[in-house]
Amino acid sequence: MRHHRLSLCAEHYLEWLPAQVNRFIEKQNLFSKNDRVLVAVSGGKDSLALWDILTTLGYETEGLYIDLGIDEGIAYSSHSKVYAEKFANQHGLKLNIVSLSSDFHETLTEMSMRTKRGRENPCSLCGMVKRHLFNRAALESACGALATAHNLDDEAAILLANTLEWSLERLSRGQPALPGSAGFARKVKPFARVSEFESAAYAFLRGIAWMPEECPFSKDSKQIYFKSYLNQWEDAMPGAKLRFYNNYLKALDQGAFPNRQEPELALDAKACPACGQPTTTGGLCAFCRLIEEK
Amino acid sequence: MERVCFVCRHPTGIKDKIHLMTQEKPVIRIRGREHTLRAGMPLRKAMKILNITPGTYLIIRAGELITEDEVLQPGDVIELAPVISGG
Repeated sequence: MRHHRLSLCAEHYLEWLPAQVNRFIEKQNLFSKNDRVLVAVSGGKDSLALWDILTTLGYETEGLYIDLGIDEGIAYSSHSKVYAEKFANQHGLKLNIVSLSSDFHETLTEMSMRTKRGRENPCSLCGMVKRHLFNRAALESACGALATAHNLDDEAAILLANTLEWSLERLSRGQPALPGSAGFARKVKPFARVSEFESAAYAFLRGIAWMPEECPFSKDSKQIYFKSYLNQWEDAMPGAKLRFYNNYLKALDQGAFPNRQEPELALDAKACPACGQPTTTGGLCAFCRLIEEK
Repeated sequence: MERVCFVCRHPTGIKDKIHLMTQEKPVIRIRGREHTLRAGMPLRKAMKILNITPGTYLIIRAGELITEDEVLQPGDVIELAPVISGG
């Protein structure tokens, strides 16, 4: 690991990475051993590695899988759910499953086809749907925090995209912990300093089986484009991604960006009459409007 | 013939050139496609030839994770597993 100026054998790598993650959890006050953590899992390497590490560190965890019903010829959602279930069963962990088609009688693909937002950018619709369902599940479970497996490559790519656009509102919301409030569960990113390579190496060395295929909608994702450039940058200047992210956190702490709350809070949110989650519109929230317009 | 270290007499892993040339050429497999390369080539150089940025793939040889500091050996079948996801 040139960015850490460190070489480790497999045995000591498997001790080192969890210790690094725990250090980040404690330094950023993400959650404590008294909290039950709901881990959003997709069946991919990052979420399963995160769940494995949190469990190994002694945190009380449950998994949350959102079945979006994406097929696209490869039974993507069904396939990825199998990996999440297999991991949970092997480790004696509880996995909560929320199914879009069972609960709302529609898959993400079907929602995408009938909405302008979905047709133009299925990932944007997916993000809104998942955020809503994650929040709902986290509030219902009364967990201490909802943990997502956003890693350093994800965070650096988002940061680069938001910086290129100078999206100050989004730049103000990139911290690894978003506090909970009325209507919003506490959301944390314990893997924010772990690169995708480190996460994959951990999963491989631990013998974790993960979903090999990518989401079929992510093929033209801008994130891959940004990550490609960031990794070339990293190869030329080891540690560049981590410095980029760490210095961003310092800038956040120094008040470089305004409005650090969830946008709904900042704008005096009202509760959606259908689901009770905060919304700025005064009527149905974006998710409930999507369901009603079916 | 494999060379031994002058100091400790342990094998260095570096084989004589003629010996390397007569052996089965190493193969790097990426997403099901195979690329045949030259034994004795450093993996880092091989990845550069294949236009692969270090840190974006796990490098696996015989079920073991290795780094790009290694050198391709005759008969190697190296699997590169992508780690970068689209979101």
